[in-house]
Amino acid sequence: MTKIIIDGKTYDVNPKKNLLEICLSIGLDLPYFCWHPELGSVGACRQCAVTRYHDEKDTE
Amino acid sequence: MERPLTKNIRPGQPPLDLKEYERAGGYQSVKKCLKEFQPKEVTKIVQDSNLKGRGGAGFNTGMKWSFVPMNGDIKQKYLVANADEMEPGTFKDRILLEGDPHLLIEGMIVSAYAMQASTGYIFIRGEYTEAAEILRKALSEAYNAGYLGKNILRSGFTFDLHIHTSVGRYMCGEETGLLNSLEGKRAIPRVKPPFPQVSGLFGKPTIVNNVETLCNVPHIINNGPVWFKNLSRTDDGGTKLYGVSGKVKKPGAWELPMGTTIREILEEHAGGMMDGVKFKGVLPGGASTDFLVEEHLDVKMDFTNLMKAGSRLGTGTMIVLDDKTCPVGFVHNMERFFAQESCGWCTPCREGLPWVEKILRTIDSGDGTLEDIDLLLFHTKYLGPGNTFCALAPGAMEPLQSALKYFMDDFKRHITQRGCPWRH
Repeated sequence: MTKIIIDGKTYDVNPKKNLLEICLSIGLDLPYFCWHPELGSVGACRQCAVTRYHDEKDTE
Repeated sequence: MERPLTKNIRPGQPPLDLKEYERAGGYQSVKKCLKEFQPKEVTKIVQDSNLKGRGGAGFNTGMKWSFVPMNGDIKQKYLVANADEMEPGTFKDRILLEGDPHLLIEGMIVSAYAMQASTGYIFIRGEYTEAAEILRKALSEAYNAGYLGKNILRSGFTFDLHIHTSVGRYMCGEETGLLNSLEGKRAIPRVKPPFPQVSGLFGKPTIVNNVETLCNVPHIINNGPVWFKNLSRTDDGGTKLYGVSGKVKKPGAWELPMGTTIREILEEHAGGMMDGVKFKGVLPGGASTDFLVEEHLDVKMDFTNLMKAGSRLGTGTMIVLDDKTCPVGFVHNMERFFAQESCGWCTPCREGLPWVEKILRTIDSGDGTLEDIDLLLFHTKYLGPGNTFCALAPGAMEPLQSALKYFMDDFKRHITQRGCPWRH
């Protein structure tokens, strides 16, 4: 398990799963279109894109 | 001044056939490699020469080859020549394909030996029918002479080479889009990693190199990396095929030392601007590079220096904008091309480019508003690097963002005068 911070809240998550799957499984409402659990990750529609920060100091 | 790439090319005459090519020193590098060098040594020589990919990205060619697994377990590897030259304003590979087909074949044999590829493809743009015909003839000559096929020159090395004529999409020039197309699939880019060097055509290690890049390889093997570096006026090795189109006196292409300045190419080789028009700006390396203007004329045309000036070498074939041509119409024309050529795979490019094209059309026809300029600026960020699968959309934004930077007054004049000032 690994730690991840989304919107200021810390979650323990499985590092092998992709970020969209994790967000959905902890109940966050992230819009998506081209992903399906049986078909895997495509990433073409860009709808579920989120901003990734390196650490607390990274604000860009 | 040495011109290794074009020394055999005789404009207006058919290319050298195999006998003439051999008499001019052809296929020496194949003999030399198979006799004297291990595959890894060939890669090292090319890496030391600092030959950088001539398709536009400018990555060290030998370095790219060095990523191919060489542990002998993998029986099938591929080498692909990217001859899908479709960048607007670019015609340099065509000169090499039609002018000296054996040079490309020779370069491919040596490159295939370096990575131990047993099969190669020349992926050629569909419209280049004459080049394909010339290549087919050269290919059969090379097979008959034992330079291609099984056990080349009794060395034990086997390399089969095929010609694949594309049906013509800009997208096929993108490395992974090309590989999908070659597999018979829709030409869309693949996620990287894995990179083609590890998993490319049909899932096997594959190197895709530009035609001009491959044509440099035989000369590097024959003359050594130091000779190649010394051809250049800067740190990027070799010579370069530079081209100029636009309203200049003598549009054309010339092989010159890497690092020749824009001014020298424009004034000495292209004969300067036509009478009655003035230089306004230039796209130094095809349509998907940033505009440069008067203050940049003394910039050396190589990968490093053009990057510092805020543009890219791209294909090295420049398109000149003059003061009698509307920059908004000029950019609109190019964005229409990019919007049509978007492969439709990822959303920012598929949706964003047609919007950019529509906004530019609106401004050009006089119905634009000042908010439209903000919308264009927004798109240059949103379709920028990192937001799309491949470099098509970021490339399409380069002429737009730089046009907005240097010719903003002209965009605003279209809006305030409610029409194109060049049409009145």
